[in-house]
Amino acid sequence: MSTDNAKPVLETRNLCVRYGKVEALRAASISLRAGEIVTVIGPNGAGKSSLLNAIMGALPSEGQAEGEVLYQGHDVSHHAIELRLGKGLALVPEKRELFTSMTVEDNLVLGAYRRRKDGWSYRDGLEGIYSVFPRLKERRKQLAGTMSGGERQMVAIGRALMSDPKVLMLDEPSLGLAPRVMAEVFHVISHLRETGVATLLIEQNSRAALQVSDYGYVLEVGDITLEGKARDLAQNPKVIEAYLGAKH
Amino acid sequence: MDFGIFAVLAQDGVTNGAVYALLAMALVLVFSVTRIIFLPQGEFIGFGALTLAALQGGQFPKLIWLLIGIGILTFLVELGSALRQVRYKPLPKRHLMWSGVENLCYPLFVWALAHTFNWQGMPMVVQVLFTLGVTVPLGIMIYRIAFQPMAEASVLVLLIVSVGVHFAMLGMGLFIFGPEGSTTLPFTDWSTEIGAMLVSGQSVVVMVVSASLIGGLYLFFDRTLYGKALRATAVNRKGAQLVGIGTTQAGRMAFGLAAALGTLAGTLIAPLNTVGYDTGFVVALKGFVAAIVGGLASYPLAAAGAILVGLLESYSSFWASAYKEVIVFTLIIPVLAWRSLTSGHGDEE
Amino acid sequence: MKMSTKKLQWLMFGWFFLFPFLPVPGYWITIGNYIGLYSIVALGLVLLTGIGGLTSFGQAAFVGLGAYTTAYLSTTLGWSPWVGLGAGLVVSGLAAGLIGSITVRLSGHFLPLATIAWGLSLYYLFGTLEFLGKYDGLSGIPPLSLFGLDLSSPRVMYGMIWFCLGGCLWLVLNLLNSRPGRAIRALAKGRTMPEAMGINTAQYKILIFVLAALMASLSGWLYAHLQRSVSATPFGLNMGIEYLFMAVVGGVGHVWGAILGAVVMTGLKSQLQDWLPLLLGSNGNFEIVVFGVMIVLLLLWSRDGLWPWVAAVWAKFHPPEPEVVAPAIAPDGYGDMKRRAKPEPGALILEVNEARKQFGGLVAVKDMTFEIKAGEVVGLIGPNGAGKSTMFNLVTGVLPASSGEIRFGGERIDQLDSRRIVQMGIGRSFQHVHLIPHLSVLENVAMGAHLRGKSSPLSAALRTDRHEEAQLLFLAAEQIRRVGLGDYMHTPAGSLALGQQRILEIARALCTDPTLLLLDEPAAGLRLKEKEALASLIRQLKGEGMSVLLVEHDMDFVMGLTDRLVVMEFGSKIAEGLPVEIQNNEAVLAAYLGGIE
Repeated sequence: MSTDNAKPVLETRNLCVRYGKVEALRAASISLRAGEIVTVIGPNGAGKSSLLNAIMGALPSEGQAEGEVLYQGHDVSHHAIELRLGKGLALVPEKRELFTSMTVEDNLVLGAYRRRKDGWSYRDGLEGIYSVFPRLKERRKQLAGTMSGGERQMVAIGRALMSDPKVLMLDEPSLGLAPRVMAEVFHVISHLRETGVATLLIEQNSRAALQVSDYGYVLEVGDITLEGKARDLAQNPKVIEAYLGAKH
Repeated sequence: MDFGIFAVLAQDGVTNGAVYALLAMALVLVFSVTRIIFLPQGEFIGFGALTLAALQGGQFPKLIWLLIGIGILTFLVELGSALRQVRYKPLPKRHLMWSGVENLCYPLFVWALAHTFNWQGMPMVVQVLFTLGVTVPLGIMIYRIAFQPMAEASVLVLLIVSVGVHFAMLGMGLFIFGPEGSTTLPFTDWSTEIGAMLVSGQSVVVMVVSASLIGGLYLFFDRTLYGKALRATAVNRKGAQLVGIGTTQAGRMAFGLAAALGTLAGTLIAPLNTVGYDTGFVVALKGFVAAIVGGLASYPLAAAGAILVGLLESYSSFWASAYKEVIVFTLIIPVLAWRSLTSGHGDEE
Repeated sequence: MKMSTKKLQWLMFGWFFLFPFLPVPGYWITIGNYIGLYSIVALGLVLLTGIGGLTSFGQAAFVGLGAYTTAYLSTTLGWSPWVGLGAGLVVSGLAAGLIGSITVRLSGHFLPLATIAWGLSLYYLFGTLEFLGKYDGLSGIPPLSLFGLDLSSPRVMYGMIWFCLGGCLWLVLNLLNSRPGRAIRALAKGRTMPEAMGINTAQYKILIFVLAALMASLSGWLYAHLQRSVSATPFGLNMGIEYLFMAVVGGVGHVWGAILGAVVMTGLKSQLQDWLPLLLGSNGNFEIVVFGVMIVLLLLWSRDGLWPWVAAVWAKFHPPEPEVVAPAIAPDGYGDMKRRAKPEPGALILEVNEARKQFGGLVAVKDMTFEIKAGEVVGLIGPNGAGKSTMFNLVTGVLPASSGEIRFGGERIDQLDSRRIVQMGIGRSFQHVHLIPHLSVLENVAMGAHLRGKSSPLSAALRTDRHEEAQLLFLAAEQIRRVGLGDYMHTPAGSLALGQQRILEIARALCTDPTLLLLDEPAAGLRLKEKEALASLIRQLKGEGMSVLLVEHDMDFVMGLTDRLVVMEFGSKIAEGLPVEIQNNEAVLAAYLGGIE
């Protein structure tokens, strides 16, 4: 899938995030290559969401990021969200942040708000999304706020894909989803790599996440404590222990 | 009161209500997109009407001086914030160039236009468009200077800033236009009788223009990408940021639209009422009472509230003309009481 | 930082008192009179806006109510100005109470909007009413006299005005440094935290709105008898806005900022009114441009106004001392303070029976059933989004249950609000700490003692509450020592580390004298050392017989700490039992580690 000598499409170097006096993330360095799925696992409050928000430039106003975010080798850490989005970063946030009183189709169309290239039309973009999520086509005139949890997640992912990202970041995509729906979402994620999109995934549901990923990082209280091939991590007793508190 | 008077008062009420509706729309728009309670809306009513009056009177519209001044200030603010970030990233030359075009060249261009043509003889539509060309950029510049640097502040702080801007603009209005008011030319002399009621063409124009503006706004929000982007920002700020609709861009659009609606409201009332530099504030506040009927969130309720305010004002001017304003502004107490009873728990800030 | 700069303050104030005895020109006395009058109004706004988090642009209308009431009574009816004072206060107080009670349940920005409309409407009313002399107003108002002493000279009125201001200051400072004062300070943090301490937020909001109106009315009364005539103009909306500007310029969060703001704005205004017309070549109130720009700039650079800057300079030379200090030994009667009877160990205290919470179509909590016995530490755990927080909110009364029953000590609590629930003995902490950062640890913790006292705002303002206050502060200090924060008693809460802030919240909850303590994700975001400190505190509390419900995501943290675990997923209970059993439960493993077929 990914060759080791390929240049990373996204890389962070010593990325720190602070909220006032609280240090949410300390010197996190991660990288991912085109077509790769990388997952970051770790307990609540470990700084996982802060990592994604800092990469996207979407930290809340009291949050401060330091360190480098390199996209295709260029530091984008002082760029506004709009610019990062235009370059090819996209984030599906934990809370989805959909436009609930607007239709599914409007949500998707707005996803391409920054995308104005020649030879590309909303129609094509929408068809692309609908082919991945056929259910959204049936419901395109429905208000996003009236959809079920799984469908909302599809709209959120679809909206992010409309911006034609090279790096898609997903914050807890399985949160609050029933297992069957969750499996569907992970199925889509694992197929994204065929289009060359790199996916950075944050999950509590670490087993499922590691199953679809190529590589993984373990983030604990602001520090990356472990990394490795996803296969190996899934077998690592320390990973299992970190989630259940004791060996069994 | 016979039917004739009743009908005339109703016509007056709905005519004024239509203007308040425009203002209420703008206030709801600005509040839902930026959380700013846009008190300076009133100044745009006065500035718009007085600029139109100047054009019709063959005088140079002095508001252009303010546009040039505020333009220079805006450019300096842009330059200052670019220089402050120069440690982290290169000077955004393109951005500054655009800012120069927008804030320095455009006002001079308007100044030149004002001097080149004989605006007095132009059709009214062209005069109104030119007036908008002066006021709309002013609204956008004011957003840049006063509000953009503190987009994250609380509603309360933004409200105090809003009051500060209102004060500053009111004082500048007095300086530019002086204490005297003006009226503009009527849109039409046409009138007709329907049954016992005399329908003035003036009222018809106001209602038709207001209705079509509201219709236009509806189409803008429902059909265009920019309109949808504004709605999206109002629905979910974070979501809007994540698809690349910047808070700043949305704020500029909202302020531009609000300035335009304020100006148009000013030109609609100016043929019938003497408009001074400070008239607009009280008119805009009636729009506020209407917007509050809609909880600063609902467009249809705000429009209904505006008609209610207009009718109340019209009938109270017949029954107790001295207490007209007292009655209209006291309406806010029962309105808030009603909202308070229908809303569940008090919200958190 | 809420530390004493008392000396500077009263020094400044004393200087103003000496002012009329100096051979200063009459114009200065006039300015001084206005500063005093404005300060009284601005002081009310500081209480309302800076401390309580509400705001009003309509204070000028209340000034007008006070002025017109006494003007009418003393001219047309020929009554004594002192009757006018009382009547003015009653009228303003009632009006403020009415407006306050209508807007108090709506979001924060409706009150200022209502005051704008109300201010305009009263202004027009003053200018229209026949018996108030329409726009000419009323003149021939008699001067004040006190025990036969004539107060008609401006120099003598100066003394009267500044005496009133001094009195208001004293009352406000006393009020703020008391049980009701802490309740008022808590208002700025929204509704959830104060209500969870048993504070009736609506009542206190109305209270400060009324108090601010009363001060404005007093200022109006003084104004009427100083000026000897009233007309509508000085009570218009512009003046209402200028009052707020004074408070903001001086420092809206600081009592003394009100005077500073009044000095700056009044001085500036008189200078600008002299210079601007010369500069601009025409007459008009152009100073509003300067005021408007100044406010925008000030809010851009420092939201806190000028006072903190003055106080910081002073503090360099005079190191501040803590203002609120708990008594070193237990005050009289401390042992007799009411305490809740402890339930028998092992008695059932909390029963959750088929509790359900539905938001529209979404079922967040699906028929949960569990119980807690006295002296037990129970953990409610589950992955993110499992419905733990909703369950927590049902027990603490932040949300009412859609169906099912929750009983505490045998009584139904599922439809009670959080204020009622804390009275019954359930104390809580917050996942995102809710503290007033600039207040000391002691003052923050004492907020939890709200229900343990009864003193009214009046007795606080007059300092007749001091005995009870000493008891409450001693109680708070004891809880602080109990949780091990004794060394930080007078440290501003905002400067503590997150772990210490969580522990502070536990001390605050302990002040409510709970029999059950609910902790919402107390370990989230804590470092290992901090987690250990927290765990040992919880063990200590358990040793003292406290029952605890821990809502946690972190399994590691709850494993060694709890007697029993309840596990939630998708709103339902998927397992319950001893920590060891849960660790090996297949369903729990699946929920935490997940996996797809």
